[in-house]
Amino acid sequence: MRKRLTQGKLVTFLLFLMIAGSVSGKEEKPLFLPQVSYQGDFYAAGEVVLPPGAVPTVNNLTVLEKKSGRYLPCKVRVLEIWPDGSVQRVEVIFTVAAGQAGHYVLVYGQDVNQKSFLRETAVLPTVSFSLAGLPPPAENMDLPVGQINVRVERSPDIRYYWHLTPLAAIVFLLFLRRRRWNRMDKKQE
Amino acid sequence: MKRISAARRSVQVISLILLIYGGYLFKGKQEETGNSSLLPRLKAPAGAMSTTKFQPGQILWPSGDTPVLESYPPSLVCRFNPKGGMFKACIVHFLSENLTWQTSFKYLLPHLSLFFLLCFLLGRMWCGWVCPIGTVGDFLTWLRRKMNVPARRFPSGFRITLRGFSYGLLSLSLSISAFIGFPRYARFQCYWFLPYCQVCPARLLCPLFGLIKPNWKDFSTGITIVFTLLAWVVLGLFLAAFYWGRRVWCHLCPVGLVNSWFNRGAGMELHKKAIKCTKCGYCAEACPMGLTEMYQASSDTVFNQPGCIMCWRCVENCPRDNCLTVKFFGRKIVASKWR
Repeated sequence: MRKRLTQGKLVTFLLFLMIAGSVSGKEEKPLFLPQVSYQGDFYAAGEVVLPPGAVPTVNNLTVLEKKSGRYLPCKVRVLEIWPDGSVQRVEVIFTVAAGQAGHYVLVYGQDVNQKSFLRETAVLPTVSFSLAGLPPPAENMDLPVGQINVRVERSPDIRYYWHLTPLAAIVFLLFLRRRRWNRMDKKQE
Repeated sequence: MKRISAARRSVQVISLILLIYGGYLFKGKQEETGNSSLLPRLKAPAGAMSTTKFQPGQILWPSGDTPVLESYPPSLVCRFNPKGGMFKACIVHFLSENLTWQTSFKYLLPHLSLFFLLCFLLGRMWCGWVCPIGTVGDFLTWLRRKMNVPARRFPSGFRITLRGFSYGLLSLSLSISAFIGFPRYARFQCYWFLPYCQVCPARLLCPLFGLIKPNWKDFSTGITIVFTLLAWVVLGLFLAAFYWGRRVWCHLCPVGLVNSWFNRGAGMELHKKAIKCTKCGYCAEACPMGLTEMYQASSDTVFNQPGCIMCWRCVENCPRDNCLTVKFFGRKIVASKWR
């Protein structure tokens, strides 16, 4: 009876943790910027993978400068979404002022409301930030299946190379028409 | 009979709204709902995305997997629009950044084929009917007319010189972009990335449309000071060029230069029937690019000079029936009418 009670408590506690986790509306992830020799302002950019249901829209994600406690204007572009419609993978860009490469944190969740968006009004260099422990996203995906790695090509080349056909046809037609006009002009002269 | 001008003005205004504020109308919505385009996307090289390969002090550009129609149709307005604009970039920007990224040619194919298709169909019509910078210029010309300031006419030699400068500007910009793409010279990317964009008037003008303050000055390093000063000079030249000389700027614009390569041979044709021409000179007078070749032609001709922006003002102003005709792959669209 006591054992059952303990199990019940444990289950209740776990349920509480799960619900509390999903209800709590704010999560933080530290962003790591590499050392740059450049002295001026720059854009920090990178891709972030988010858990399902955590970020319903891009407005629920922003960047916080820990030192000053200021939320920075950032540009967020959705790259992939979860089946439930929440954001899965995003590209985040924000501006780092010259000599102020401080402690930046990505804040997301339903309680977060991004108010200021970044507008790229300057030509600035971009430095990629990274998140601890997350591999960089890539064109190809490696799936470890025991001793064999199966590489799944997400974008076969044919998707791109078929464009050579209309391209060649257009160039051919352009030159054909140009030659015809030139001949016509010569004839008139 | 000013219906061509009225149609052109309407298209220009609609295009300006769509291209400048399209970011708010469409792109913001798309950002919230996620990308679900069936079209191929532009992929930056894996190296450009990789944070593991990143070396301290190295500058890399983040990848953008951008659907074709949302990014690079020919010479659409630039990334400095509010919210990135409905469309992302012009052809010079597109070539420059991909040369720097050393993007694989296959990834550029969808964009290039779309660019070639539009240019093949319409020639340089983009400049006369859609370009938002041209629209701003036409507005300045309208202001000049209202203030009764006469437009200056420049000799053809001046136009040729400007075209030469345009070639120089384009080749210099692309050469620098290619040069800084090599890993050995990647350290220069922080100073020389998108060299033409740094001085392009659109960079300063586009944000203003969205009531956003552009980055007017950057005096952090010697090179940025030079670029800032150059940008001011070019903006001044741009405004002066439109104010005094109608579309003089369009002879210098590298985007227009790339478009002009397709003018001769394009689907949109401008025909002249010499027998009907009375040499009244109205066409030469009306041409905002200051071209006189159409007026001078003494035989039937298809007039698709590289400088022609297909505004059809010559057709509108020609007082002779069917002397000047605009055809699309041989089918008549509009012709001059007796007045």
